[in-house]
Amino acid sequence: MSTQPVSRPAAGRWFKKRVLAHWQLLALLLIPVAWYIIFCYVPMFGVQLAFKNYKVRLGIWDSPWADPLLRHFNRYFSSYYAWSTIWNTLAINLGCLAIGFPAPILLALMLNEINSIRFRKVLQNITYIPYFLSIVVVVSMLKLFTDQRYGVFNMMVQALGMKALPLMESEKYFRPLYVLSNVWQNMGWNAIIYIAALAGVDSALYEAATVDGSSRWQKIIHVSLPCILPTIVTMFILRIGQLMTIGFEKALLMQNDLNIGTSEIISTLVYKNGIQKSDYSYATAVGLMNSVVNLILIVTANTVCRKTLDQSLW
Amino acid sequence: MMHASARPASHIRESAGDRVFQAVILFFSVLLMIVVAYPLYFTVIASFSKPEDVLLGRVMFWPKNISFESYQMVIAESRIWMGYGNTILYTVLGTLINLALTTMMAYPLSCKETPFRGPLTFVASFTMLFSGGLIPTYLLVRQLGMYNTIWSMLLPTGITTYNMLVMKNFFQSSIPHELKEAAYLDGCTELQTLFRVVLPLSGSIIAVMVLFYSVAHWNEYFNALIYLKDRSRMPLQVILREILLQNQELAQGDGTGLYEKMMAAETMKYAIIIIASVPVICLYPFVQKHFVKGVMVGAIKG
Amino acid sequence: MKKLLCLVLALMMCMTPLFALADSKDVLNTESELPIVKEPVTMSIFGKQGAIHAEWSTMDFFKKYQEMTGITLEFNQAPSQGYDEAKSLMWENETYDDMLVAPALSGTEIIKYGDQGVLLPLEDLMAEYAPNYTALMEKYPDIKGRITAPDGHIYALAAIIAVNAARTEKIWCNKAWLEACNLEVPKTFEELETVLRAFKAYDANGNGEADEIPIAAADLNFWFDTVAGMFGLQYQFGQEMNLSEDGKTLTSWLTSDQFKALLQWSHKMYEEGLLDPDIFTQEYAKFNAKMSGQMMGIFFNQADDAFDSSNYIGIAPMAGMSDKVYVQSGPVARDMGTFAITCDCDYPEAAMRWIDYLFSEEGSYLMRYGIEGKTWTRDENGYPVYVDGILNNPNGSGPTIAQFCIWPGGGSPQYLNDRNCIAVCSPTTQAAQAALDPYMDYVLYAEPLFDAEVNERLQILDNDITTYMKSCTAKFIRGDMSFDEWDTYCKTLEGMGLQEWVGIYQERLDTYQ
Repeated sequence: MSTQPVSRPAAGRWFKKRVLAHWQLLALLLIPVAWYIIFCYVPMFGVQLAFKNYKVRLGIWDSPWADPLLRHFNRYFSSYYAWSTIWNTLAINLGCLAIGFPAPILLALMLNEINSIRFRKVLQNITYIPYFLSIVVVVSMLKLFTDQRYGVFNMMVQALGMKALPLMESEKYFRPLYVLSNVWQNMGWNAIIYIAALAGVDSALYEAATVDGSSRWQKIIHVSLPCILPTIVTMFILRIGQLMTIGFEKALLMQNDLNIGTSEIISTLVYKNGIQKSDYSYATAVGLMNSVVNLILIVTANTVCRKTLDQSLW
Repeated sequence: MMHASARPASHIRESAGDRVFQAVILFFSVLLMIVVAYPLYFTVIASFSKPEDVLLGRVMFWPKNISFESYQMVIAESRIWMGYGNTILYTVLGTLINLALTTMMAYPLSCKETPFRGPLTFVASFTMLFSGGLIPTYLLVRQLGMYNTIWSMLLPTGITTYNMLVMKNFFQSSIPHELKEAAYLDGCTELQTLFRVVLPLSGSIIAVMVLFYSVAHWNEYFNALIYLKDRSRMPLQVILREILLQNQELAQGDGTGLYEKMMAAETMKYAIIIIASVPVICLYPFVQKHFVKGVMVGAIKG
Repeated sequence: MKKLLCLVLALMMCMTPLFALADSKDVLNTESELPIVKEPVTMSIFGKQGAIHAEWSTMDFFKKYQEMTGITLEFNQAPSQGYDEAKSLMWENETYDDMLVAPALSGTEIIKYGDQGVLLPLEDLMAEYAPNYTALMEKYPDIKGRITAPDGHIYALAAIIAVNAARTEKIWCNKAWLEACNLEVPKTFEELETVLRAFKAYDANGNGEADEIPIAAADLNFWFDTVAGMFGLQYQFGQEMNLSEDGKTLTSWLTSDQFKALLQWSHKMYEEGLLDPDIFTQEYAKFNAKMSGQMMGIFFNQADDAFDSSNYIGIAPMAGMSDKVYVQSGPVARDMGTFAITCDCDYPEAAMRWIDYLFSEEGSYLMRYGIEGKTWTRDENGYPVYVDGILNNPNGSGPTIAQFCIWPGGGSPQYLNDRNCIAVCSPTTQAAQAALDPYMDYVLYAEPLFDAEVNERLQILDNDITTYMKSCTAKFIRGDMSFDEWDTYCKTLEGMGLQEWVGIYQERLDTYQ
């Protein structure tokens, strides 16, 4: 590990002092580091599949290289749907970011302004329940409620004299439905951290603002918000780090022939080609592209945050 | 801490504007409460109503003809209970493995004296940025011979790097360094310090980890879908997907005909949702009081 | 020295299969047809256990056939839920099951895994050990072209469906509803619309609720399969293509005026609430339930095994939208990839004899009827009839038979002929077929196998075109897309390589002439 040119006795001493002395800590690390190598780094080498023609009988290492090397990438980009899957992936994630990120902040600020402690507690506890529902359950609820004939949502819509909306079976409703159900599920949970941050705000600040004659609205703008801003920025950067990686399972469960135009994201394509059609090389190539796009996004976001907000992940 | 009031005590006299403001806030919060709670509420009342009433739209705001018919049908459905058993097994064992592995990684990384601490932290963090992706991981699990075994449900999800970093931050910021120094002076080895000093002080972060990991295990379906084959090993979520989303036929039903069975199954779905979700919702109150502390320290001070 | 060693090694490697062959033949019983083997052997099988199937190992057919052949089976089949995933995983196994029985192999898989050596080439084995199948191939010459890969090998066997009625979708019309509305069987589109409107307007089933579904199909594919023919459209090579009058040129009809007219008419039906809105997303199970619940006025299904047909009548396709009306029909080798032997099979000869017997007359009875005396008996001609309680079972005959035989649900290796088809060709179904027969008299090519390279290109094109077509047609029908956008739709399809796609099939057609 050490690459510095150290003289032998020094290296020996260094080794004794720095490494042997802490053998217990290193021993602790042994298993988890092995885990990281096996389950995270070995698959990274498996990525070479994207540049090979995978043959079942030969395995990953012995399968021949693709000719041309970027054959599977060419295949992806020669498909009419290539760019639309990339855009769909981005659109869902950006939608979730644009609406899903501010929602818990607003919720926390609103909860903070409710005078009745009892009501506040009830509301808060209700909003976090959906977080615990599994994706399968949430999607089934969506499906049950929006069923065109038996769904309670469409029954209400029809009771109001409108036509039933095919929410699950339409390209134009897929994204709003996806994003809003996400907000519904996660808003309360994600608000917890902001609520805690608001609770930590020194009440002297509010009192001072009252003395200055600030209205409640002004207090939110000038006291509450600035106080939780650091939390917001941290959470924002963490959230950016998950861009492009979330949403696969839900999109897969919500997908059907009618909303495929907007619900086909890169990872569902990987799933279908890889796991269902065992076209491993092609699926790995598409998946690799997703990882690369994700990496670019994170690095960009991190750089922008570091430059403008002076805060960053690394 | 969580519900601690930050409300200043000094709004003795509210201006007219503030009263309007309060009314607006109240209006929106009631609206929000309805929007968030109604789907949950409806699921509950639909599960307790007579199936026909639900299908014909007679149940909207109040339960009609309270009946336990749906629940009786669900209870008779053996697949759900088998799935339940498997899920509990995977959740308990999986969470234990997660806790062990995460602590074993997070603690040494939080100690300044650990050799190679920087590179190792990088090794872990890098996996958040780049991964081999679905297919190589999947082929790996197959090659390790874990396909269709319980291990495929436990090991590939062994550590969530984000959680590990949260835990590491907690150790760094909430365990006073002097305490560890004192333990060393008393002759404790590093391992003894971890078990006798650090872990007893880390209740809140352990509670958070239990919550994070166990919820993830409970709700896991995709790994089971691709790594398991035998019906008898499938966790609850896979069974739910079959019944709720793919309308797979139920063994039970009054046997009169496929159509009647399908209609009955349609309303059973609400009861199934309730039965499948209640246990995990009940988990939260138990860890609630530790929760905020753990998350705040882990995430914010990171 | 090294060279010599290599030579010896190479020789040994060449010999190994020879030894293996010699071994594997030894077990065969050469004295009589059954049992197949002299001493008991065990073989494992993989396949798709249909949604309505009982556990395979409990089926009478398998139990009996194991006794008869001396070949004990090890069952590794996968359920139809998540079958695609299971099959895809199966290719990754270290060792393969000996036989793939009803594995629903796609053309792509047959070529890919045949080429990679996972599936054994069968033609030599067939010549020696499959007299029944070979005889059928001679009787129905179409089969050979359909199952032979471009490299000349046969990697998988197809089911042989020698009955017209088992290869078409019938048009079922609820005659009880017709009577209730006091209407005749519709013959033209105008009459059809009148009938459908009446079904909706008058409570045709008399239960006091407007729950009648005037017209429906399992999904859009099934809808087009039947309705396209009424608009003069064919499915050459199993694709959306028409053949010119002289039989030389293929054209895609996806951008044709007839197809536009079809969509416009479908849109009209949807708008009026006559076409079942579930058609876009329902699972087959739901459609099945609707059939058995007698919820539909007019619908398309191959047979009447899933519902009580005493209220239904099979009708002829409507004319009037085109000067020519066609009924689509599957080829004799209807289901491809229903049986294959893998490279890990120790007794390929025995496996070939195992499958071949099922294509004999007596074997087909076993395969389709189960155990004689238990689930079937013989009539005066010696032809099989099911015992009572099977064909008239309230759950439908299909699910009942699926308790002891694997054929319901399709995709299994089977030989269907006039004598053994009663379950799928009841008198009602045959009458329904008779109504279709006049429209089946035209040349129809079956989907062939392409070589790996062409196949890959075809898949890319097909994936784009099919996905786009599916989503646009659904939008046109539902009115999410207006017919003003028809030109855009056509241009997009052209841009995706529609002509190249047709060209691939055209090339194949040219080789036939």
